[in-house]
Parts: sequence; structure tokens; C-alpha cells
Amino acid sequence: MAVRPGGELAARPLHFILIADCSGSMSDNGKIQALNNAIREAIPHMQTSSDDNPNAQVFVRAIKFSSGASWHIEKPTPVEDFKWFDLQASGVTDMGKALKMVADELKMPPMTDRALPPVLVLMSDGQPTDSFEDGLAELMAQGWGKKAVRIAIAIGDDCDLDVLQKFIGHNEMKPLQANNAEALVNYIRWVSTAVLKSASSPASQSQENQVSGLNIPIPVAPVNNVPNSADDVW
Amino acid sequence: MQNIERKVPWNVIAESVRGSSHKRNGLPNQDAYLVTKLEGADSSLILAVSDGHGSAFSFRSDQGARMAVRICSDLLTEMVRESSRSQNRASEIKRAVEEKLPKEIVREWREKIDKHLKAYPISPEELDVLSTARGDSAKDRVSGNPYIIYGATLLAALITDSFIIYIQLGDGDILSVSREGEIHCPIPRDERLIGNETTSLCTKEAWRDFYINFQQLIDQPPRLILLSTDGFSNSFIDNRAFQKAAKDFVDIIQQEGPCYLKSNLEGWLNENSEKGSGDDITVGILFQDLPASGTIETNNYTI
Repeated sequence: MAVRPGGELAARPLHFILIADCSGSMSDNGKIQALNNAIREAIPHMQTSSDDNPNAQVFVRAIKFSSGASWHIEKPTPVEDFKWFDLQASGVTDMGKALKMVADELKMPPMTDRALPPVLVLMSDGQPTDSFEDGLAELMAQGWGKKAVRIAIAIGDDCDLDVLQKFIGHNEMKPLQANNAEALVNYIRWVSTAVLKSASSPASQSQENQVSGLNIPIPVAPVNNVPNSADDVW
Repeated sequence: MQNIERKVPWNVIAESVRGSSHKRNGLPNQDAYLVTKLEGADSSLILAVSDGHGSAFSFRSDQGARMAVRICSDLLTEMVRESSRSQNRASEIKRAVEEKLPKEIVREWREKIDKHLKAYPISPEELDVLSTARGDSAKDRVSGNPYIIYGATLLAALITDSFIIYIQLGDGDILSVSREGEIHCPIPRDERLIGNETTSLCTKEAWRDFYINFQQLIDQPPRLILLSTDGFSNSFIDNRAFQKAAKDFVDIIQQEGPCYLKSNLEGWLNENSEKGSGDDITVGILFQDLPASGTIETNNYTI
């Protein structure tokens, strides 16, 4: 057997980063537990979806923000090994700090130019209490920040949708409004499967042909049904 | 001694494989290459490689890539021939390539597409596939710039006995290996090109995004020059692993002979795509100093 020229081969890395609001208001009406359940429920679907494309290696991480921000799962974890640990809610909403920390991880290095566009999923129920604009500016100053697929999920009615729209960065997609636990499950499953699948397909295109954050085709998001009772609404 | 070395003719081995993800998704190989050997005193050789975009917008990019390599090779051939009797041949070609070639390539590529679109208008089926993949607004984008449909990159090298010209538009890689085994990038990577986005023949004022490097062969020429579409470098875990491939090609040619390399290249590239990027991969290897046993025939050929 002829020895193949070159060094080690590897699928292209795809970084999937969950950015979760853990402020005190997330403890109201069981929102934080619904978020934990939704992420946990999505994991097997995410793993199955990832198996469909052997040319992308999905790495998952999670960052939480409340009074400050910190990595909840710091190490880029291969999706097949990904496990979820429950988040707890307390404190304020330092979303800008979380975006700055994500921006640091999207610099090159540690990122490489052979990566696929990262997927960033921002989930929040409120309004930033720190300088969101500064955090977003730092994120968008990174090449991979601009190229990232940025998805935002509003948890409940009190979320600042304008902030989430700025995070998305274009008008061709709106924040996903999750007003109950079932909707949250559906959206997180969708982003963990359909969006992930789309982001993992290497399809080159001209720079001129896309807007920031839309360099992969975003599948149609699920339509969430009306909840069973008023008690189910956040 | 140096003159004798420079008279050694250049040879080329090239191969292109359909990406494993293209096989899964029913897409064709959207890369193309063309080797042109010019008859004459200095045995000039042109290798052009193009990578048609895989995006749903660029559903005729395989044809755009084939047009690109043909046009680039023909224009370079013309420039070489026009300057053949000039006393300042190298500087004349250098000036022509730097000042005229990018604009000429883009102009001719677009003309060819205009003719192709006239002969083969976009079909309702093609538009249906596009709108299913990218939504109804995608149709407007395509009608606003139909060249997107054929979008492709371009890499080329023109080699004569006294100079080499490297040309690049968009992603992909050109490496050279020196006589001492050092790797050089005649055209450095464009830092803007990450996340599957690339400059392209289909963008407005595409000629502004060309990179050209003229290299006079005053000292020893490179031992090997590698041109490859981005599916090749993206299949390696890092840049060092990719650059090792260029060095390994040198060793294989010296130790096993070019015929061995040629007969194994397709299998290796398929392995690269399957275990790496999943993308189409095209590799062109230009080299001198063949061992006595193992000469290969270099004719004009293409895919």
C-alpha cells in the first residue's frame, strides 16, 4: 500500500457555542430548568445530525452570563462526548461580557482558517445590564465573529428583541420567540440539527454573494403551536 | 552549471477527484484544470486550476471553472508567443500579465458566459432547485448577477526557462519547494478568505482581487511547484501537515519516480477528501530533475 503524501487528515472543525442567560429572572416560571431540559433533549439529535457529515467535526461549548460571565463548558467538546450540566439562575444580565469572551475564542489562533463557520446561539429572557454594544463590537471585530452563524432565542415576552436582532446582524432572520417550554425545546432542537447540518456542509461561494452571518443557508425555523393553557406561557 | 539546470524541461502531473460530500449530495466535480505545453526553444508550460463554487447559487460552476482554465491558458499562451522575438521578453510578459491579464481574463470569462446563457438560458428546474435551497429571494440575486451561477476561482503558473509567473484569484494554494527542501508560498494566503467565502471571477471588479508574482530564475529554480484547490489543504489537520505533502511529492518523484506518483495520486486524493474536507480536490505538480528511469509524457490535457 502506497504511503499517502502529507501529514494527518482531519474533518474540518465546526464550533457550536451556546451563550446562555442565567440571570435571576431565568428562575421565574421554571425558565432555567426548561432551558436545561431543552438542551439535554437536543443532544442525541445533535449527535445523529453530526453523524450525517463525516467531513465536519462538531465541537460544543457553553458560556453563561449573569453577574459577569464564565465558561460553563470551556473545552471544545466533540459532540459525541457532549454532556449537559444544569445551569443555575441568579444575578443580572452581563451579556456584553459573554460576547467578549466568545470573541476571544474566535481569534486566530485558537481558531484556524480551515474551520467551518462557527454557530453561536444566544438565549436570553431580558435586557443586558452591561455594555452589550462593546461586547458585540469585539465579537464582530473578529473574522470568525463576522462569518459566524448567529442565532438568537428570546425566552419569554420580556426579552429585548432589538438587542437580539443586533446580535443576528441582518434582517433576513428574526430572533426566535420561545414563549413556553415546548417552543424552547423545538427551537434548540432545530438549531442543533437543521442549522448544524447546514453549517457543516462545505460549499464555497463568492464574498459578494452573502451578508454577514448568512454565509450558510439557514433552514426554515419550526412554527410553534399555541400552548395548551395560559399557565404554560412565560 | 545553473544554465544547464535551467534547461531541464518541466513536467507536470495533475489529478482531480470528485469530493466525497459531492458524491453524497449528487453534485459533480466542480474543479477543472488545464495543462498547456508550448512548443519552442524554452519549453514553456502553463498549468491552470479552477474551483467552481459549491454554493447552490453557483449551479453551473463546473462549467465556469472549465471556462476559466481555458481562457487563462489561452491568454498566457498568446502573451508568450507575442513576446517570443522580443529582446526584453521577461519584462514584456511581466508587464502584460500584471497590467492586462486579470482584466482580460474577467472580460473573456464574462463574454463566454453571456454566450452560454444565450445558448442555454436558466431553466425553471434550475431556479426551482435554487429557491428550494436558498429561498425565493435567491432568484433575484441570480438575475441581478448571473455570473454567480458560474462562479469560480483561478490559480495558474507559467513556467519558462528564465522566469515563473504565479497567478491567483480566490482560495486555493500555491507552494514551491526549493532545492534545499524549504517551502515557500509565492502568493500568501488572503486573510479575508475564511468560512468558505472566496474572491471570485463572478464578483464585480474581480480583476482587483488577482494576486500575481513574477519570479526571475536567476538562481536555481524550485524543485517542485504545487497548485491545489482548497479541498486539498482543508483536508489536513493543519498547515504543517499540508505543506508536508509538497515535500513528500518531491521525495516520491526522486525515490519512486513520477509514474508511481501519477498512478497513485487519484487514490490519495480520494482518501484526502473522504477523511478530510469532503470537497473536490485538484492537485497539479510541476517538477524538474526526473530520474533517468521513469520519464512521463507531458501533453496538453484537461478535465
